[in-house]
Amino acid sequence: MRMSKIFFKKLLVTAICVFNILSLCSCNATGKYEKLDLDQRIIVNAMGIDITKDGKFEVTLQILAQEGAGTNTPIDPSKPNSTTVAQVADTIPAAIERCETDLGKTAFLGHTELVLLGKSVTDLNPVMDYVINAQGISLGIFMAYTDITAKEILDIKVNSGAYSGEALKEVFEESLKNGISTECELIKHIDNIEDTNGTTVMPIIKKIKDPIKSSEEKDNSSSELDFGESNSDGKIEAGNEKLEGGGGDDSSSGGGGSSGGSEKAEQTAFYIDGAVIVKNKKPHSVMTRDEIAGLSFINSSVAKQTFNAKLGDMLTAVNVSSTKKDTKVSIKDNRIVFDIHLTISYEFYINYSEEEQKEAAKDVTEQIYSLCYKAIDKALKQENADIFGIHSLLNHNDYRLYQEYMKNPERVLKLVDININLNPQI
Amino acid sequence: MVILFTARIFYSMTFVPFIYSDVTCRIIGFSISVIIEGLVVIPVIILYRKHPDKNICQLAYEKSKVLGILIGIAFAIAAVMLMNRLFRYFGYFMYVTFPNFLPLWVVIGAIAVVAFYAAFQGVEAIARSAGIAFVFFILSVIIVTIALWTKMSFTNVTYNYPKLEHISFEVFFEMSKYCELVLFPILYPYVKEKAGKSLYGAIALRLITVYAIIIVCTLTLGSYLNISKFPFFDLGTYAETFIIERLDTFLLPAWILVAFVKTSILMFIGKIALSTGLKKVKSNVFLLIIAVTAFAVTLPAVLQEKWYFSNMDKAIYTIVIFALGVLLPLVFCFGKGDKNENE
Repeated sequence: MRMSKIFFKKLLVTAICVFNILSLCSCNATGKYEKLDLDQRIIVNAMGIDITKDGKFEVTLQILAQEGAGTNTPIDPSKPNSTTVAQVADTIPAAIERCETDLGKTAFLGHTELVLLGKSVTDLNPVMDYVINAQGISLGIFMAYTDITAKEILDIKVNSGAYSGEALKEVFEESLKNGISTECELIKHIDNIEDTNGTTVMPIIKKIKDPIKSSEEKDNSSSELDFGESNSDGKIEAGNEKLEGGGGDDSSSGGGGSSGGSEKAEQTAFYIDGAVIVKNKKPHSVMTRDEIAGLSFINSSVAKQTFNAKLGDMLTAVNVSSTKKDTKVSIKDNRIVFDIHLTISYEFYINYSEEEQKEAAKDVTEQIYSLCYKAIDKALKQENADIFGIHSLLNHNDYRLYQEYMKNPERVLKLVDININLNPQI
Repeated sequence: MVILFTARIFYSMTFVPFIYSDVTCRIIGFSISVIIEGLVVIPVIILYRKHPDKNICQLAYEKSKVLGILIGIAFAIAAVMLMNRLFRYFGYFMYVTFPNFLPLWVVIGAIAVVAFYAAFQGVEAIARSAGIAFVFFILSVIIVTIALWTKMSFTNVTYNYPKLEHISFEVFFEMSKYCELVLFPILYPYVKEKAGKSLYGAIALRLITVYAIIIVCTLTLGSYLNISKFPFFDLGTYAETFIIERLDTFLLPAWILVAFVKTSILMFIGKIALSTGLKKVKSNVFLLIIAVTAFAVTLPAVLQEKWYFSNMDKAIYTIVIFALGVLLPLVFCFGKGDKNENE
């Protein structure tokens, strides 16, 4: 018995030694299992995808710039800390591989926070196939469109201690809270596309070159957009000031530079303006900022948005946030009617009398009604797109209709009416 | 209870729960399979009450030496089969989530060696490891759930009218994973608590955990479940806290620990089964044979990257599990019990 135990202990030690040696050997392995040191990897912060004129993919990787990050020298805040590398190939993985070859390093996508699509990307199929199956890409990355090329946006240099990709993410998060951006996480896009036969909404990111001219440029740039059909007005209303009735949110109009007054920061600002409606995994049309605000209210996802309400001859700021959503589905005159009851809370910065508060609230409520119906008109009536979660509401409320929807979503969506009922709480 | 639970929960982490049928069928199928399992463990509980100090191989050996040896070999083969499945699932998980990390045979070999050591140390060592794995697993489920709390939404839930074929497939799939049935007839002499408590406790614990995982997955991932290979692991890639950006690296150790515990307990029961009949050979020799055989049997599949089990394979597993875990205990239930039957 004792001999046996000793024998097995020896055997175990031998086996463990063999595996240790194997593990050490694998550290020195070549080819497929070659081990990479940290300095042999490039941490990709954001990825941009464009389509060239000859139909190839141009992939831009935004990576850490060593000169600003203190890899070789102490951190130098005066230098931008990100750089980009771009390559063209027939497929996205091939383009990334070429970027890696250029850099002589392997790309690590586990910390990628943003996938930006240029306006030339007219088919999401290859992009979605790649991001779903790519090694290490998080389900929480942000995915958005831009009205120019993704490369131009990612080329923006930020010298505030953050990447432009990171700054963009912060802009997205803040815009989402303010209701001027739609949900843009990859998982949400996958969900929407799976549920609705390829429909989703992706926010559009734009670059401000000169803030003095920004307002004018925003209007001009709107007409440059070419995502399939143009919107109903022929141009996109942009900027906070365009929110109906003077309402708007001033807190999230841009990002990219922390040194507010500096010329450099002004040149590199970017903002979210509108969104692209994707149908059948192809960009179809553009929603304006007002319509997106309305959509956010319908989805009850506005955490804080400031409206300007008329109070006599003056304007007063009202802080608005969504608190509750309740939806009822019914069938009236062969139409599927969704009665959406939204509870919205209003907060005033100044102590007004009850009468004054009611008057201001009434004005804001009208503005929100208008925004909501703009969104419904655009998405449902004009585009026949399910961006209000109609599939889910039908599934939860009327299974027979849901089955009809799954067979022919276009036909069912034409029968849908959405009624909004606002319940303001002051 | 903890060993049984840890051994079984491995499948909830690695297998592909929603790729074959929707969540409604999955929940119904799983619930039915739990009820069936609750019934089919009755023979082994009766066997334990009759012979609390003798495992099924010892009982067979007392009736006939040849029968004892044959049943021991059968249990050892079952253990090797279950390890083969475990190694392939784990290999597939590593293949998908960490490709080109290490040659997969090295990863599986490493688990086999460590599990061999645990089985060599005995059931106490395995039980302690299972306790650690259990705590780590439960902790990781709780942390991931809390981290995802704000991202959960009922709008992600899509109901479907359950189809009988999908439910029956789920039941069949679950039944092919009843490893407790093979483990317990060998393990119960080592159990300090009552057999019913251990078995039903493990089943109840698994029921709660799997429901929790299904609910969190469904509320968080929505339709992505239909294309996800490892939904539970994907939760980790999506979850983030103030400190940790991604929790998938947090889930990985739980995975490895659970795989290790399951491998070691399977090696242990294989060793006990063989050494009961073949008393002339040292039990650790059998342990070595089982470990090497399981690794050798899996190696071709791993090298050829064959991860999936066909329906025929699942049917074979189900038959083996039911033959050894239900029919055999049922046969040995008849007849007189030991002296301490009523203790």
